[in-house]
Amino acid sequence: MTAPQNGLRRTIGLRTVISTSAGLTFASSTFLVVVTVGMLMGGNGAWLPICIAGILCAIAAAAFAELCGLYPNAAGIRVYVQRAFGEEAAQVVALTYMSVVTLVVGAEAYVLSYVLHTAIPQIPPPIWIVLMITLATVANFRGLKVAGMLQDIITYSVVVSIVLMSLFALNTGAFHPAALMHPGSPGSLFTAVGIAIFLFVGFEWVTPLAEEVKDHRSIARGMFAAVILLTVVYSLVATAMFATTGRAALFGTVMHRVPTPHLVFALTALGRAGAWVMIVTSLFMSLTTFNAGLISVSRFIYASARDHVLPPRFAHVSLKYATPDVAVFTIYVVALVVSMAVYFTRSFVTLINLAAVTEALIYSFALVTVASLRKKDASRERPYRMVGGSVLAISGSVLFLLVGLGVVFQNNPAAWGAGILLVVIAAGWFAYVRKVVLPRKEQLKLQQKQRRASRRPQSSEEL
Amino acid sequence: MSTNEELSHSLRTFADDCNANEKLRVMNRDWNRVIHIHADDTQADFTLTSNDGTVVYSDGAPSTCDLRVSANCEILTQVFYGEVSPNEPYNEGTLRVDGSEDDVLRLDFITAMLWEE
Repeated sequence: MTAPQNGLRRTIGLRTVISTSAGLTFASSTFLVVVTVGMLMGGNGAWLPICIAGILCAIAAAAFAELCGLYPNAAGIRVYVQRAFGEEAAQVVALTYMSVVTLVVGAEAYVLSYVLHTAIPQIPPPIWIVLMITLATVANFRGLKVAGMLQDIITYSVVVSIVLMSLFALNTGAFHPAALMHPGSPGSLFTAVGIAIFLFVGFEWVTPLAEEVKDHRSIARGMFAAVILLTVVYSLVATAMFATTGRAALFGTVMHRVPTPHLVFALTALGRAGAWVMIVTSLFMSLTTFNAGLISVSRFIYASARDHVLPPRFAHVSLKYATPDVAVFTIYVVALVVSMAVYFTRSFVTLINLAAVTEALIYSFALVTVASLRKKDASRERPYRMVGGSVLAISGSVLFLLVGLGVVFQNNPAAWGAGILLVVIAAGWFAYVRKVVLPRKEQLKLQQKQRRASRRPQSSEEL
Repeated sequence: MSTNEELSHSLRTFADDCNANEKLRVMNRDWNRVIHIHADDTQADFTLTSNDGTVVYSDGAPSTCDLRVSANCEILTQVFYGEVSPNEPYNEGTLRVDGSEDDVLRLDFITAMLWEE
C-alpha cells in the first residue's frame, strides 16, 4: 500500500520501523556481551544493567527522534554534529564511528564463523569468515539489502526464537526468582551498564527511513518500541542462560575466548535440537549485522569521497549495479583483514568493549547536540520534541559519558586496550581532518568551481 | 537571486545533459522515478521524470512522486546548473531530499557522473 503525503509515496509502517531498528542491533556477538555483563553481576543479576542500559537508550532514542525530525538527512549524526559543533568535529565523530562499525563487523564475522564451524566442523572458521563476508559483499555490490518484509520476517523470527528458547529453558531449569535480586557491587553495576550499551548498538540507524514512513511519528515510536523489545529479549535470555547453564561453563567461553556461549546455553538447556535452532537464529542475527554494517560503511565511504574527505576514487559508481563499487570492495578487504586479525589474536572482547564505549560516546554526543541545537536552531520546525528538553539531554549526555568511561576504566587489558584503541583511532582521524581534509576541501572546492562550466545562460533572452 | 525562469532553465538543461550522457542512460534504464522539485521561497514546482533511461522535464507538481527535492530557488538553480555540488547544501541542511535512501543515493550518483568525472 502507498500513502501519498505531499505527493511523496510512503510505504513503511510501524511494524517495519520496529523490525528494522531492533534488527540492526541483533548480532551473534551480543551473547558474549550478555555473558560479560553476567560476569560483572555474579551471573543472575545480568538483567539489571541490561534494563538500565535500555532506559538510557530510550533517552538517546528521544534525542535521535528530535534530531532526525529537525534534519531529515541520510548522513544522520554527521549532519547533526556539524550543525551543532562545526565540520571538524562532525568529520572526526563520523570517521571514528564508521571505523568502529567496521571493526564490529569483523568481530561479528569471527563469532559467526565459530557458530557455523560448530554446525559443520569440516569447514574451519577462516573459510567461513571468507565465505560469509564474500557473500555479504556480493549482495552489497549488487545493491541487494535486507529491508521491508524480509527484515520483518528475520527480526520477528529472531525475537520469537530467543523468547521461546528462554521460556523453555526457564521452565526446565532450576530457576529461582530470588537469585535475580543479587546484582553485585555498585561499581560493577556501573561498568556492566556501559558494556550492556552494546546490546543496543545501531537502533538509531533506522532514522534514514524517516521519509519513507506512512506516519511521521513512526520513527520515534518505532525506536522506543525497539529499545523496549531489545530490553525484554536480552533480559529474558540473560536470565535463562544463567539460570540453566553453569556459570563456569558460560564464563569459561569468554575467558577461554570461545565466542559461542549461546550454543553452550542452547545445548545444555534444550539439547541438540535447541542448539540447531540457536545456530539458525545466530545466522539470522549476523545476516542483518553484515547487511547493515557493510552497506552503511560503504555508503559512508562513498559520501566522504564525494565530500572531499576521502580520495575521489572511492566515489566511483558501478554503471551496471548503480552501487559504489570501489567503496564496497574497500570495506570487503578491511572486514576480511579485521576478521582474520580477530581470529588469530582472539581479541573480540576488546572490540566489544570498544564498540560499547564508542556507542555510549555517540549517544552522549547526540544528546548534547539536542541541547546545543535547541539554542542555535531554536526557530527551526521540530516534528518531535524530546521530553525533558535540554535538562534531560545534558543529564543523559553526562550519564552516557560516565558509563562509557566506566567500560574502559576496568582492571583488565581488554578494557583499557579498547580505550587506547579508541583514542588512537579518534586522534588519527582528528589529525587527518585537520592537516589534510579541511585545507584540501577549500582548495578543491575552489578548483572545482573554476573547472565546472556553468550551463547558466549569459542573457535572460536565452531562457 | 535566481528566478523561477532560471530554475526552470537549469532543470531543462539538467534533463538534456542526462539524456546526452550514454553512461547515465545505461545506468538509469531500470530506474523509473518521478522527482518533484520545490522552491521553498517562491513556491514554484517542477517535475523531472526518469523513464527507461530518459529524463523528461515538466512544469508543475506531480500528483505523486518518489523523490522530493526542496531548497530555495537560488540553491536549486545552482545545483541543477552544476555550479555547486549538491553535497554541500545537503550536508548543511539547506537542501532537503525526501525519498528512499536508495533513490537519494541514485540522484547523487547522477550528479556525480554528470559533473564530477
